[in-house]
Formats: sequence, structure tokens, C-alpha cells
Amino acid sequence: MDNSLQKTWMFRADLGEVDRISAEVSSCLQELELQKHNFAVQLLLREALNNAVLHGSAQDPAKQVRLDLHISADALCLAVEDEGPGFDWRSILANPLAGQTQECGRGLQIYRFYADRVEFNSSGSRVVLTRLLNPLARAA
Amino acid sequence: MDQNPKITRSAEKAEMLLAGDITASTSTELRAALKNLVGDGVRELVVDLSNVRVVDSSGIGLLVAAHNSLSRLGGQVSVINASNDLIELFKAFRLDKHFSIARKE
Repeated sequence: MDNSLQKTWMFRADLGEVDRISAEVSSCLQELELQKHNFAVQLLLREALNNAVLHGSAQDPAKQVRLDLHISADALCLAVEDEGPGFDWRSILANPLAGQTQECGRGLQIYRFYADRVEFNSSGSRVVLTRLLNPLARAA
Repeated sequence: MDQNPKITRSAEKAEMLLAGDITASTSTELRAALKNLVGDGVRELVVDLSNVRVVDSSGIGLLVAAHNSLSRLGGQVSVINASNDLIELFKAFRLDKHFSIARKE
């Protein structure tokens, strides 16, 4: 089965849209028989989209968020970009893990746990999350 | 689909059967429901995840907030019927060190 797919969504900065697009991506994975990655991809996708809507766009529905989904035989790649000013991802990634009883600040930890590669642009307004689909490559 | 949690109450104990995922779009309402329960005297909260597939960082924050609130009052939170994926997630964030988490049977 050909496991390749390239798809782009542009949507207004609204959490309801995050739910809708998450469901559509889940359907894409099912069609490509990649259901076993669905939980990890849903978490990565929701964190990236939530950050773009809540922080990058401050839930301003006039602002747009872009998602590019690229699936190849080896990897699934999510690229999320918003129109906001970005954030200082370098200092956040450099800090230790959030305390176990803090109520926020776990988004980047989810990236680290479920993605094999996490890349930001310089300003932090775009993140690219890559998850390898081959179990042997993931374990390497 | 009705997204309201089903709550079964007996004295200081409440069991909350969630209708769907705990995410940024649902956590605000759930947070209000939890606050009402605690304000109404609940000290033992059981969260039933039978219908929950995904808990994002907002949802994890919500569970931690419930744990923090009830701990301060001498109460506790427990989670039941979690999927294997959710248990792996909760363990990654060491939530299992703070409250009981039971697997879906």
C-alpha cells in the first residue's frame, strides 16, 4: 500500500477547528493503515495546534494557522505555523522538566516524548514535528 | 453527542464518567465541574476514562489541578479505565506517583 500523503489545512485560530482537524488527520491515518501511530500523532498535533491557537494567535479568529501534513513510507511530519510573534523556545527547551505537580508547561515534553525530531524556526512561530514510522528506526 | 460528564455522587465521593477526550477545547468546562464538586464537599474523586481516547497537556493539567485541590483538603483523586496509551502517557509525566491509575479491563 502506498503510504504517502501531502495535505495542507489553513484555518482560523479557534479550538473547535483543532478538534475538527484532529479528527480529519485521524481519518487519514486510518486510511493509510497507520492507526497504531494515532495516539502519538493526536497528542503531537493537538499540542502544536493548541499552542498556535492559544499562544501564537491568542485565539484571535482573524488570525490563520497553517498545518502541513506529510506522510512518507518512513516518517510522518507535522508542520504548524501561526501568525504570532513566536516564543523563546530555546530557553524553554533548555529548562528542566516541569515539576510533577505543576498544572501547565507540558506541551514541549509531549513533543519530546512522542516525536523523533522537533524543529522550530528562529522566532518559534513554526514547529516541525517528525515521527518515524518504522519501529526499528524509532528504537535506534 | 452530549459532552457533559455523568456524575454519580455519594457523600464525599463522586465518580465522574467523562463523555469524551480531555483537551484544550473541553478542559475549561470540566475544570468548572470539578471546582463545583470540590466546593460542594467532594473529597474523593474517581475519574472514569472509559470513553476517553486522548488527554492532551490541558487535560493532564486538569487532573493535576484536581489532585492538588483535593490533596490540600485531605482528599484524593483516582483514575479508572484508562487505556494502555493513556497509562503510558500518565507514567511519562509521573502522575502515577501522585494518584492511583487503573487500566481498562
